[in-house]
Amino acid sequence: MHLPTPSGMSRRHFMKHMATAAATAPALQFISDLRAHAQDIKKAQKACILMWMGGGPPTIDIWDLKPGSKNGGEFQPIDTKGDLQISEHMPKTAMQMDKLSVVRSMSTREADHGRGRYYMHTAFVPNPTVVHPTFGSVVSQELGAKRSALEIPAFVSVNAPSGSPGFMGARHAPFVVSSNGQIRNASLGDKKDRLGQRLRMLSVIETNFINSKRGEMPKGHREIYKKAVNLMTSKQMEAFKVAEESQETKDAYGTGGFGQGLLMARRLVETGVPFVEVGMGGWDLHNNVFNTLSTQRLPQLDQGIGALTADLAQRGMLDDVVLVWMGEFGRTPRINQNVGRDHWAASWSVMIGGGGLKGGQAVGKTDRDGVRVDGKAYLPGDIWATVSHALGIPSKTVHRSKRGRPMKLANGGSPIKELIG
Amino acid sequence: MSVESLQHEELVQLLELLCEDRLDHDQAARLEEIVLGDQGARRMYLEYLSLHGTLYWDAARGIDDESEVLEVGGAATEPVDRSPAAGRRTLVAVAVWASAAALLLAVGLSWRPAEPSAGPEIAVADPSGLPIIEKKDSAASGVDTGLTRRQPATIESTPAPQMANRVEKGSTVERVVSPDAVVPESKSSVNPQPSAGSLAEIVGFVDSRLAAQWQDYQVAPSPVASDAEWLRRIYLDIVGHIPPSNDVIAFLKDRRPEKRAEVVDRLLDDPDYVRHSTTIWSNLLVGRVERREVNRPAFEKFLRGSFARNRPWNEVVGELVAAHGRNDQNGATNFLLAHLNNDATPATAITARLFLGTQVQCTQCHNHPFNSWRQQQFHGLSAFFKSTRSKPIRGTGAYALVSGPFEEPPFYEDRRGVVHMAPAGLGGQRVDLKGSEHPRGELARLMTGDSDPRLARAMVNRTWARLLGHGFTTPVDDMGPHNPPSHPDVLDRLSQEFVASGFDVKRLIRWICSTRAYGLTSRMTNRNRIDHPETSGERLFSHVYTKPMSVEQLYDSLLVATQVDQATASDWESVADNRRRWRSQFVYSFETDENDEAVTFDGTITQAMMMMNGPLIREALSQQPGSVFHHVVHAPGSDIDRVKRLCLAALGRFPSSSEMRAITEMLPLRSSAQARQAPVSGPLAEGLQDVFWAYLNSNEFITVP
Amino acid sequence: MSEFRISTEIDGAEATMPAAGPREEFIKLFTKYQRRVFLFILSQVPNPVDAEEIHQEANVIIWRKFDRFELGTNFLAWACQIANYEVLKYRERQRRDRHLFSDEFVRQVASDAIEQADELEQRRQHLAVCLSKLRNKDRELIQQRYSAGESGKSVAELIGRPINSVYQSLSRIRRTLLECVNRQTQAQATP
Repeated sequence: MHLPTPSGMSRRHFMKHMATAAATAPALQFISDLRAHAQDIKKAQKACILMWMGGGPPTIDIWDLKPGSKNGGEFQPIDTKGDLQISEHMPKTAMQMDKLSVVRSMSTREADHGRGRYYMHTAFVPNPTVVHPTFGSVVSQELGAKRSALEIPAFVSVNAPSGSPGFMGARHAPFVVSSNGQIRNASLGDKKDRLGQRLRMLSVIETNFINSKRGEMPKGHREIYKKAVNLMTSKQMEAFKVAEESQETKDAYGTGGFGQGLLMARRLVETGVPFVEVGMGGWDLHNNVFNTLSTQRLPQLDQGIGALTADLAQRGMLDDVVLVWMGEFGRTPRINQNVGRDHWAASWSVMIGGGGLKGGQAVGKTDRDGVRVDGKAYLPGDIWATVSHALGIPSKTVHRSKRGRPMKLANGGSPIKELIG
Repeated sequence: MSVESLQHEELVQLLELLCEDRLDHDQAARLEEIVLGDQGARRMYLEYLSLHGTLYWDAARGIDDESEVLEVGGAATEPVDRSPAAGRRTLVAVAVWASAAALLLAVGLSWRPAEPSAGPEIAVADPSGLPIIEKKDSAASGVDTGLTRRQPATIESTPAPQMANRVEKGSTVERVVSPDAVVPESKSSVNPQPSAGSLAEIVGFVDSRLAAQWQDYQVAPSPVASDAEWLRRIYLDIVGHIPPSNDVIAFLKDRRPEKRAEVVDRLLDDPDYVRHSTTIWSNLLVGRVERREVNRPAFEKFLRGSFARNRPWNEVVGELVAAHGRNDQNGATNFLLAHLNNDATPATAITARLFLGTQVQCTQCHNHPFNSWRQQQFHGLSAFFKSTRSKPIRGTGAYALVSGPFEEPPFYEDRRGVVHMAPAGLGGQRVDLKGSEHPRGELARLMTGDSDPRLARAMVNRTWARLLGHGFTTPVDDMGPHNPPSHPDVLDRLSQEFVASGFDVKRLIRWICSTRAYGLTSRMTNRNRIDHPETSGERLFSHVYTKPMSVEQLYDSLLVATQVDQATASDWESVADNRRRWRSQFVYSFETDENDEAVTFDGTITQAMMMMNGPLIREALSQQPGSVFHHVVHAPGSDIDRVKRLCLAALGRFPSSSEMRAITEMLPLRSSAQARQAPVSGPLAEGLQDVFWAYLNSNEFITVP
Repeated sequence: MSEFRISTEIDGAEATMPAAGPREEFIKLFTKYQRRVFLFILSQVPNPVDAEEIHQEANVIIWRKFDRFELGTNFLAWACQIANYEVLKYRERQRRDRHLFSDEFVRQVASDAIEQADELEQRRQHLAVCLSKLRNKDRELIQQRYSAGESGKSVAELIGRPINSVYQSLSRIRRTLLECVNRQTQAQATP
């Protein structure tokens, strides 16, 4: 290979570039090192999988049914393995409910999609002077940064972009992938051997620009490229390849985008990714809610949650992986003239389980017609504080916005007592 | 030590912890105990907090350096009749002050806030043809709040000579790209209303207001941008792509002082101005996600025609709001067709947001102090859209925007469950739509008439933000009493002039691009480090704020830098198609009833990999005839020249000497005997590929400087 | 087109406007008392960033209610009443266990702060003098500490000094300033 001596670069530095450039050559020692790492990684790595129900799911038809009420709708509750009832269209999940809990007393104020999405993802209400990080970015910073063996992004979002890393910067942005596991432009093609030199030239140009004092963007760009190179040259890219799972497994999760996304999430979590968000859309059910739920949404949802929970439990991972299921808000208890339900944030449910949290419970409750919370209500900050507790992120953690404003972890929410025991 | 002094010492220590935000709960309890138990301690608490707060408020600025060192037990000095300049707070104070002024103006008291110099009286024409009203500054003299003291006594800057006598041009150029781009400009721009302020006056005013604030904040503006930096910025801002190498060289060679002004004029007449403006506004108006009801080509054709003829902005908006008919025949209908779902909620929200700079959609934000106001605004506005429907036209794939006569005002429930009727209205003006055949026509009339200043203010704020990197408010489209602008006087003046010019968009751009602020470098200096909206919250425009390229700017700039499309000389539509396909990988629709979408583009790994390995870059590095890289490899010249050409093509500048040294050290340069031979091949050609790759992938490439 | 009508729809379209004279007077008062209202809030919510936010909320309300203010009465007292209400609202929004200070404390401090308002305002003028007497190095440090978004901690990082030493310096400077202001005030009180 023709490569002149790189000036201004230490030998170690040079070797590192060479190594990244040649990472796909199987003979190299470091790949077997990597494999050894991979074994360690599988041990007890805390992680969170967020199932995001874009559009706002009607939790009154899923987790908190109101039989006998005028708002009850068409579905009946069924018994589960836990100490609560859920929708009859969730039978597979019902079999796993001893491991999962439902918080039935969410009351979250924001019933607009954009604001609700922001609030539930960040625990802060939108504010024009600061962009708060979506919680995956928080976990990326708190846990991802400590996982030196992790070469792929610490925050992966499947099917949908989760939100903004806000003041945590682009290096904690979600890596958005499609549930088919194909990563666009990740292959170096026939230019593998040139990457080292290209990156060195790039470094010359970028350093000059960074030093020209034009804010933080130029520096962020360099960090992103570093991450991209790590990703492209990593053996851990395998984690995205859901296609390599057995047909049986794929069928168990469901072959739609949501099921395959959850399957990918399991693979990513196994590889050491601390936060994976899997999106499922189509919940903005202003009309024809029952038919759509029973024939389309719930079968998919039920299959995915059921398979993921069982799979994680069977692999002994469920104590380390927190599962959270939520959307922007719930939907109106009242059924509208189009047999739909509209936006409703005053009383709705979030499902949470795994990660060593107590399963099988209904936490909090709504009144007979589901229109208000009876007793203590919870905010997204409390959910994320519970997740933080399960992940081992200290509750006193404070982040600072770019302007130096202190921001308490999860907006100062408290872990939900019934869940942490 | 006495008990009192012990306690005093403890108190001070606790107060110190409090000031640094380090007081824990136990310590807070102890502090309470001491303070509540003793009157002296209470006084001390207040004095300490007052000291802390005053330092915070005044940011300790504005104090001269001359005085002697403070000595323990030193003699008292007479208090000086001078308060520390409010420094950082001035911004807020001025903003509040200006909204106060705005209230005064609202009832017709002609009075300009904090205008330091009398200057020539400026006559401003009312576009409706009403008599000219003169504005006088003297009326302000009766009001003294102590704030005027901070304004400098004179306007510091005189307008640059080349700006003074410029005639605004309306000529078009020959390069035909867009089928619509050659239509002569509409009358209002060729014959600007004579009573509008001249370019020099307006720019002079803006410059002086900004300079006065720099002084207040004790910041010094950054130096003027280098020609290369400025040219790259103006190209990206006006025509949406980087300048081609030839234009850069010609501009650098030109030594005439008026060259910058000429480039602004030339670019505003360039067909790519039309294209870029069309891109910006079609993204804002119908989004990047394809929708069934939207005929994008027809819509873009409408926008192209509007920008090419430089139609008055109020006329364009009026047409978008009042449009009806088939979406393939009347392109303007596509705007509303894109937003009619969910009882036209999105249509109402986007109309208010884009055209009036007002957010009314958030009717359920419980904690918002203006919530009831917003709810009323929202329903008042949505009443105009109630009778509007989209109708598929059988067998054609087309849709029609139809609007029936007004039926009855809609009802809505507020959060307490009280039912209200929602009379149609806009910004405090109510309209009786009973029997109206075309309610949206009424709306268009109200929005674009001169009784509502918001149309002009929203456009000025957005245009300023697009060019300078930040608007007068953040976000740019949430203006109102709850979010006062950073420079109310500049915003007011530009808005007035924009109205007086007949809503001439090109002129607005020309004004802003001619300001001193726009001509500065985006480099920060030690003397304006605090001017950094992300970290300090300050927007002083003492340097230009860099912007990341948009998806479209990046695509178009890659084509200019690499010229890979030269071989396949494409027509307008297919270029647009390619671009749409390319950008679709970054666009995601949330599929909710609010039609929101996200662009996962700004600095993500996905974007980085696309730039490193994507097909467009691969093509750029292949030696396709007609491409820049082909030319660099085949043209005569030294190897050093080749590197220079690549740098120029990508970054619009020549490499610095240290950069050149570092890069050529990595290249197998040939001996001097061979050094001028072309074409280049083998390792050197590969090395040059690497150089070009590195320039295109750099942070500098994707930055609008 | 010179009367650029700025919408005043804060309270709906019908917001009534008082006649020209009182309005000017109101604006004057409003501007004049900005800082003092802020200090009043800060005494109860000692974090300046939070206090600023409450202050902004209060400003909105003050504006909204300006037609209810009677000229000739005590503007500061009136504005502080509104501010006080906003402080309570803020505390309500916060969970009880996150309150640094008790309700009783806040009540007491608020009433003291109004009583001593004029005195505190006088001290502020002396502070200007005292600041100018600081050693350059000290003044620079205090300026850095109080520029936007900074804290003792961030300044320590910025200038690369150990954090505790920065805290000590800031404490020393604030004490010096406080004592200097005390002396100035006494000197003025005893001619």
